[in-house]
Amino acid sequence: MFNIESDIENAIKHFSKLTKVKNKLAVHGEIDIIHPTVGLLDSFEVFIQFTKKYPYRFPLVKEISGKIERIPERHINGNNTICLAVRPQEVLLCRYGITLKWFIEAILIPHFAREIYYEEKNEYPFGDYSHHEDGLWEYYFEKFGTEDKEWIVKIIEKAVNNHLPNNNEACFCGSTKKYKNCHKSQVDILSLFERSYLKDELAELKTKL
Amino acid sequence: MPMSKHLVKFFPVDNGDTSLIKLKDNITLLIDVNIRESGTNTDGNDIYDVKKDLIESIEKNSGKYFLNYFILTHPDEDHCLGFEKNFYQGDPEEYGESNNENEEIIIDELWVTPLLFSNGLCSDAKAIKKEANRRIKLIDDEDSSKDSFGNKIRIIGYNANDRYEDIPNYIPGEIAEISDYLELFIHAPFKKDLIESQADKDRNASSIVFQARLKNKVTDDEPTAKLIFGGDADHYRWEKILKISEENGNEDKLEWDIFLAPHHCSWSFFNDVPYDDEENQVAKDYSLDFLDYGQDGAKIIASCKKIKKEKPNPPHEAAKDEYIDKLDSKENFINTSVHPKEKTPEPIVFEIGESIVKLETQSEKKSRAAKEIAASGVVKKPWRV
Repeated sequence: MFNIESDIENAIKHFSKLTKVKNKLAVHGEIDIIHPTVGLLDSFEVFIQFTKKYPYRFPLVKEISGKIERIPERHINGNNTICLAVRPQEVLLCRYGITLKWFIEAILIPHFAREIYYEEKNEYPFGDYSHHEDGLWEYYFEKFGTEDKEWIVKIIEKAVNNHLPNNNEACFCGSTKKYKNCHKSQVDILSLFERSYLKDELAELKTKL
Repeated sequence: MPMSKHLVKFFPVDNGDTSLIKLKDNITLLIDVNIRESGTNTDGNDIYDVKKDLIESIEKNSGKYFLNYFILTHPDEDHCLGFEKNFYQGDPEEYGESNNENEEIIIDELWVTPLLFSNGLCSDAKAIKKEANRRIKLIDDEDSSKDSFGNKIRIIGYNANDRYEDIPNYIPGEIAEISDYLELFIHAPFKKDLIESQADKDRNASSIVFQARLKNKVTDDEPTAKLIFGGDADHYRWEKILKISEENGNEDKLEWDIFLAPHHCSWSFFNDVPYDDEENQVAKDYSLDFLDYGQDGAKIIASCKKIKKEKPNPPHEAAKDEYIDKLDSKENFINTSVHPKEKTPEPIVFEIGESIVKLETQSEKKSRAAKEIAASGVVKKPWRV
C-alpha cells in the first residue's frame, strides 16, 4: 500500500535540503544540480505539491527561486508550475505509481539541467514540445513515425473502441501481413493507456486537426 | 607554480586588444591592454573583468604582481586603456601599501615604439610615456638600477631621435630571445612608416608587428606554435612585411597558427581604400597571400565588438568573410565579443604543448555538464499545457 508520508521521508533522506511543509502534503527546499566531475552547476528552490492523482501522476513543482525566466518558451506557467513532460509521457511513466525520490532524480534534476543548458545556449539540449495540443500532436508524430493526423486519429479511435486487431489477424492498414508483423510495434504503445484516458486525449487532439 | 603547458589568452575587450602569453617557465607577456570599468557595455552585455583575470593569471615577485613584458603595439587608447590605474608607474623600490591594495602590476620590461614620444596622446598613453621617460632617464644617468626589475625599457623600430640612441632596441628583421621557449621575430614598424607616422599622426601605420615562435620543449628545433600580432597595422604594412620577408628568405616568419586580425577585424587589412567606397571592396592579393601562410587548423582571433553587417566598423563583416575563406573551418574564426556568448563573453584560451588546444570556457563546461545530466533523465523534452 502506498504511503505518501514514508515516500516523502525517504526522498528527504536523500535530498537533505528538502523539508516537508507542516500540515500540508508538500515539500519545500533546494535542489542542487551536481555534475560528477564539474561539480555544482546551480541550485533551484522548489515547492513540490502532491495532488490527489499522485503517485499516478507527477506532483506539481513550482520553481520559486525565479531563476527561470517566466516566459512561455521556458515551459513555466504563470503560477510558477513547471511543465516537465508531455502528458501522455507522464501518464505512462506513472502508470504503476512513482516515488518522490525517483521523480526528483529521473525527472526534476534532468529538467533543471536542461534549464541550465538553456541559460547558456538559449535553446534546450534535446529540443522541446510545442505548447498545448500542438505538443501533444508532436508526441504522437514521433511515436507513430508519421505526421498524418487523420491516420493517427483513426488508430486511436480503434484503440478506444477496442478495435485493434489481435496478433495473428490481418493488419488494419490493408496489407496482407499479420498485425504482429505489420503495424503492431508502431501503435502498441496505445495498449498501455487506460481507455478512458485515450478517449479524453482523442477529444483534445481532434480540436486541432 | 610552473605549468606543464604554455597559455595564450585573448581577452574580450570589444574594439581593443588585450593578449596574454604565459610560458611554462612562468614568463609573462602582455600585448596591449584595454581594461574598462566593470559593468555593462553600450550593448547591455557584461564587461569582462580583465584585471581580476590578469592578476589571477600572473605571478608575484616579492609580493607584487608583475609582468615580464608589456608590449604596446602603438599608443592608441584602445591598446592602453586602464594602464594608468592598473599598472605601477615609478621606481619599483617605492611600490607602497596603496599600490599593493590597488593590485598595481609592475612591468619588468616595457616595449614601445618611438611614436610614444609624440604629442596628442590619450591620458593612458601619456602615463606610459612618462613611465618610459623615467626608465630612459635611468639609462641617460647611467643609474645602477637601470637594468633592475621594473626599470627596463626597449624601443622597437628605427630610432630617429638622438636622445634615445643608447636605449636598447629591436628593429625589423631582428629576433628577440624572450625565453628558452619563446622568440619574437620583429617584422615592423618600418623606418619610413615611423617618420611618416610622426608627421601624419597615423599611429596605426607604425604598429609593432611580430611573430611569436613558441616551442613546446627547449630542445625542439621548430616551434609548436607561431602567433602573429600586428596591432592596427594596415594593408600597406602587411604588403611590405610580405615582400621583405619573402625577399630575405624569411617565409617561415610569415607562418601563423594563430593570427590576431589587425585593427579589430578591420577591412584596412585587405585594402587601403575604405570599405565604404563601394568600388574598392576587393581584397588585395598581398593580404590574401599573407593569409596563405596560415598552417593546418590555423585560427584567427577578431578582438572586436560583435561583427555585424551594419556599422560601427571596424569590425567589418567583409573582412570576417575573407578570413573565413582562408581557414579550414568557420569555427576557427573566433570573435572575442561573442565567445562563447554575447551576454557574458569569456577569454579565448589556448594551451600549447605538443599541439595547440583551445580550452573550454566556463560556459561551455557548464552547458556540457548540464547536457550530460539532462541526457540521463527519462524525459528529454519539456511541454507546456
